[in-house]
Amino acid sequence: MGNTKKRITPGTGPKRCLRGFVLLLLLWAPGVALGGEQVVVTNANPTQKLSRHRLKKILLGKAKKWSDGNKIVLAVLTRGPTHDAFIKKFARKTPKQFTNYWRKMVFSGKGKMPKSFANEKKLMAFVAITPGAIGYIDSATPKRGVKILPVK
Amino acid sequence: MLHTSLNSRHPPRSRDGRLRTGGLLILLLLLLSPATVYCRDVEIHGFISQGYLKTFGASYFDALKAGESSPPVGGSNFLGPTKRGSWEFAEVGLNFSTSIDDDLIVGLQLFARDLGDLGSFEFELDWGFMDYSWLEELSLRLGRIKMPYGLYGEYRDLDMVRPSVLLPQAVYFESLRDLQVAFDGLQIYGNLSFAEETLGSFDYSLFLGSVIGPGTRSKSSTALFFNNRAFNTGEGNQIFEAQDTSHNPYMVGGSLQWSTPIDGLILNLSSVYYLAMIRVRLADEFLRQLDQIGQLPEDLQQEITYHSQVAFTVGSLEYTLNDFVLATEYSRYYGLFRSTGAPIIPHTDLYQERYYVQASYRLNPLIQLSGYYGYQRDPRDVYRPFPDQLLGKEPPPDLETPPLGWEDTHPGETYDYAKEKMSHYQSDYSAAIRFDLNDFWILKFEGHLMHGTEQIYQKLNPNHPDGEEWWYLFAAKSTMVF
Repeated sequence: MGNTKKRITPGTGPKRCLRGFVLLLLLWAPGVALGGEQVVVTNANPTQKLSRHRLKKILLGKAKKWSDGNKIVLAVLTRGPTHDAFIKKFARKTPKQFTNYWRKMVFSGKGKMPKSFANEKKLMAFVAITPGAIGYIDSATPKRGVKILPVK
Repeated sequence: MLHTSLNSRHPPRSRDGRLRTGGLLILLLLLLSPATVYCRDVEIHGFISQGYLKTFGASYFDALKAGESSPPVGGSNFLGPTKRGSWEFAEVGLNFSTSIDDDLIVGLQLFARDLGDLGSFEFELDWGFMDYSWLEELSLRLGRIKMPYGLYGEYRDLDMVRPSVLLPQAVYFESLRDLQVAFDGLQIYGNLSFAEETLGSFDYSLFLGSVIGPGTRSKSSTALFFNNRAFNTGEGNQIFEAQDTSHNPYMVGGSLQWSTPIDGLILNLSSVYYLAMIRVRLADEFLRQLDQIGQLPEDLQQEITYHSQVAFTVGSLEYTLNDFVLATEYSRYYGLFRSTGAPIIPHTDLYQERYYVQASYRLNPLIQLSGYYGYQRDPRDVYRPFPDQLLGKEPPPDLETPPLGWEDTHPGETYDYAKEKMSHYQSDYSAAIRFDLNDFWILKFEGHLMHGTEQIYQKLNPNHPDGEEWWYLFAAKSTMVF
């Protein structure tokens, strides 16, 4: 019977710990969306980062324009775990409350319904070609034509 | 000689009606003009609701318990012919909006409702305005605009956005809706956010205009309010009827909503003040009775005017923690109505204290539970240990004494203060369950236990003016939205 124990090269343990620590640090660093959701905007958007308060205003239709003067165009998912988690975290509302909020806006004339999409691929395709658009996807979703906007 | 008004059978189309139609046409043309269609897409949304209301008196259930098989329902009609069960409880809304450019949005909503005598299911312009966003801190709206009033005033006709069938009537009484639902004029509004971590953010609104509604239509809630007042001077026939020629010269108001730094906590303060000229026509039968007893003044006009000043103020709190929402609002209504027919048609006033506390909780995507307690009273007539005693107020000295002339109008009866008092307050204990059948269709059931009859209108109960101290209301409603 052969020796099944794995040989440990001297010095690899501390290196692995260091890599793990750095990875943990990156995950917890300011500017990276926690829990896997990420904010995406068109590549041409000059905005480099977004505060949580500003993002909340955008999600509730109270922020109208980017710093470059482009109108903010909000794109949301219709349902799903990414939508639920993102809305709860940044709009501070449950999905039902978020839907009811926008219905209040629409049926009182105070706003227009955000563009809504059944999946992240369609949302991303819209954001990629729409000046001023902002949306959100899961961090595991491959990005195409959009850039990540860190939220601090 | 009695002066009668001309054209009483077919009054000319009111100025407000012409303005309403003209404004609607202008907005529709703007929305559907080729320029608009080429600039942006037109969004269309709508909803339709159908409900049912039924009231019972406490005597009904007492009789059932005693073994009676088909007792009379007792109680009173509330908001409509509810003693026999009423399906006259429906709303339809259809709205259109489009962006002219990045800063200018135009939209309008057509709305029709049926609620007993309050609304005959005729489409009207619910709102229609141009919205110019100059800055996030300062924007303008011009046109017919929903009135910011408390937490839910702008959304009071939207069944799909609330857990209950009826908004707490203590603060959102359907019979005063037309004074609170919308105005024609200008609104300045904006969001002020600085140091959000420590101060939160503020949404403000200032507005000026006029209200199309006080008595301009015989189906308006304001007309019902005044027509009910026509019974106050005695029992029997209604002595006057509100006319379509009433109008409101101007109104002014403001609201401030504070999204506090405490997550989920919102505070709001709203106040509205307006003048109105409510025109009423004295009933022929009433005038004949005055003439018979020699009390008909020579110069009395058959059409008189109530010069009215009204102020509503409401303070609100809403706290949201995940699926749990707690809301409470407190309001004061003040009104002075000076009659040009005094003293035959006396001056009247309105002084009401109103509040409610509501809690709701969503169990799962299908079911949401809610309940509220609402209360309203005339503080001059109803004394309560809290807050009156707490504030050191003494009970009114004539609390137990019948009002002047009561014995003449109630010969042989014993004055029952509790029975008289119950018309000056109303408590509302409510529980509701809401089912979200899917994203576009909801169904609700609701029960109310009411104590007091301040919201019971004699106009809706001409044969049973007194009502019962305790009574019940059952409500159901279904809404579809797109």
